[in-house]
Amino acid sequence: MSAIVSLRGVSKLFPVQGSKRTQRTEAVRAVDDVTLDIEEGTVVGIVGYSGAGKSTLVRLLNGLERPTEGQVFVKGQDISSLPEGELRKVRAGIGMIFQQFNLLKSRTVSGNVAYPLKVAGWPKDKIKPRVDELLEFVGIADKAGSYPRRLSGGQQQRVGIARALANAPDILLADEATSALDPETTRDVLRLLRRINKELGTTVVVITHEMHVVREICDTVVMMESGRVVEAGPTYSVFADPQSDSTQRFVSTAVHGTPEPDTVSRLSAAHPGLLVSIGISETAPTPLVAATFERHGVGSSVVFGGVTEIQNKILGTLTYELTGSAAAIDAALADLGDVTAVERQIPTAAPAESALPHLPAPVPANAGE
Amino acid sequence: MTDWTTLLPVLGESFQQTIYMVVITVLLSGLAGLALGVTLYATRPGNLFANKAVFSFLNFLVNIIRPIPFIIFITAIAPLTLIVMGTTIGTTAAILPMALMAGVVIGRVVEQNLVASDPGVVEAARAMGDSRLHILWSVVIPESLAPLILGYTFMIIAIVDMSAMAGYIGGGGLGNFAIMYGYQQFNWEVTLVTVLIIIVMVQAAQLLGNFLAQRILRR
Repeated sequence: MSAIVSLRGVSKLFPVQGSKRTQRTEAVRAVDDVTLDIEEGTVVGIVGYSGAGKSTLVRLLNGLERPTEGQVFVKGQDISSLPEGELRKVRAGIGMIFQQFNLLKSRTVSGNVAYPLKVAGWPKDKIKPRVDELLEFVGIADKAGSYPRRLSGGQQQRVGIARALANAPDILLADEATSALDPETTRDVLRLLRRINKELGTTVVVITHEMHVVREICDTVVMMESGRVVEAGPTYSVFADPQSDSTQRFVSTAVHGTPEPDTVSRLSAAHPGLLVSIGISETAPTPLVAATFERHGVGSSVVFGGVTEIQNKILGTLTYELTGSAAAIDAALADLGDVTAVERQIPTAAPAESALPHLPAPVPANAGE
Repeated sequence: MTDWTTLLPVLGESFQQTIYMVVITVLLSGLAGLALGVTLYATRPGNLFANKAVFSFLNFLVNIIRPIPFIIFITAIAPLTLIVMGTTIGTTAAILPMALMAGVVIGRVVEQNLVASDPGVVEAARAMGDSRLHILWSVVIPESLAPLILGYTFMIIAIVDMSAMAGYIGGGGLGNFAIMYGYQQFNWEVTLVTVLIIIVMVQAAQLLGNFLAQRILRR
């Protein structure tokens, strides 16, 4: 594999008008010294909070923004200093979709998809079949004559995707493409993006603040904070072993973690045994954990947590209630500690009294029923 | 009693003069205003052809001309009218100040409608590799067509209004007719008839504008 897009020490500064009194023009570093390679044929997620510089970064990739410092290479060509006319040719080979779809409301669905073809100078008789083919691919052929206003968000984004694919781009940029969609539609659109990557070999760059989007489709993740890349790597390793604080926070939104202190208090009130959280991963799958407990004669039942699948590998955290002799439990946890994260959950002060009222009231035994 | 047999042909001629002034002015100022408005929009900081010098200059020009009361503007640019049109009196002479003032106002109306349009579609078109000039013509203007039509309708009515004032400098038309045969001869009936004709003209323009805008908005 080789890099289809490379950034080398790229920074982007936006001038901010200083106050009249100081007469100083300050600059905001939206992107700060980013060096990054995007491998051909992969799906890359660029993740971060609002204002982390993700949207600026993606606009540097197709020359909608020019870097203040550093170089941007697209298919080996340095585009950072290309004149506008040359840049237009580069952009025509990169598709882009948007959070608000950005469809032309004055044109029909067909008109929207035909637009980039007209811009690229396709002969008239070739445009119609190509538009039909694209609408068929994204599954919206029946809406060809409709105006965008008449379509749902998911349908509009499909039109946006068909339009972005019109000139068979090698790269597709998705700027928060699912953030305005409901969960169901989000899944459909993500599946479509995955299909584009698999069937057409298109490199897909996904900008998002939603970790479950990354979990669904990304091969690699780039974590951004204050314009800088703070972490990058294969999706599974970033999820399984996040290094920075913000990555950990993001990962915890999409993968089950250890219970919060008040949850531990509630759980211990309901479960008298020892509570232990075990990291579930490829190295410590659930059958292995279960077998270890059994081998040491420790009784176990799951009381909290969950596992999910990332890049076809399991990941999550399960909290068990363990029963048995202290020595057996210690031995079992020592074995597990060699392969995964093990954390004993000790409830903090005054568990029962403060935690009990949060529990659902026990069902009263109704006489006579 | 009003002698309509002698007045009617004069009224007919005045009506024609008004139509002539309005149509020519709408065509001239419509095109000039569109160019001015699109330039103001495009050169605005952060837009496709951001250019502070050009934007500031045009903005200043519009701000200077627009507040001048039209009746004073006609006399103020009389020397220019003399050079360009060869005369300062008559229907044709009235067209220059009308077209200039209307052009400036239309420019502002066009600019305001375009500024209110969605910048996302412009970005989408740029991302497709479209040229900036082509984007102005085939994205920015069509996307704002409905409000532009309503803006132009508003301006056509303002131009009818202007044409009445042009009567004062011998521009002829319905305004002149109402002043000469109505106001100055204390003939309220003539004034009323003229006003009714103008109301019908304005209503027709407004209805047509609304109809066209609705058709586009209903898409």
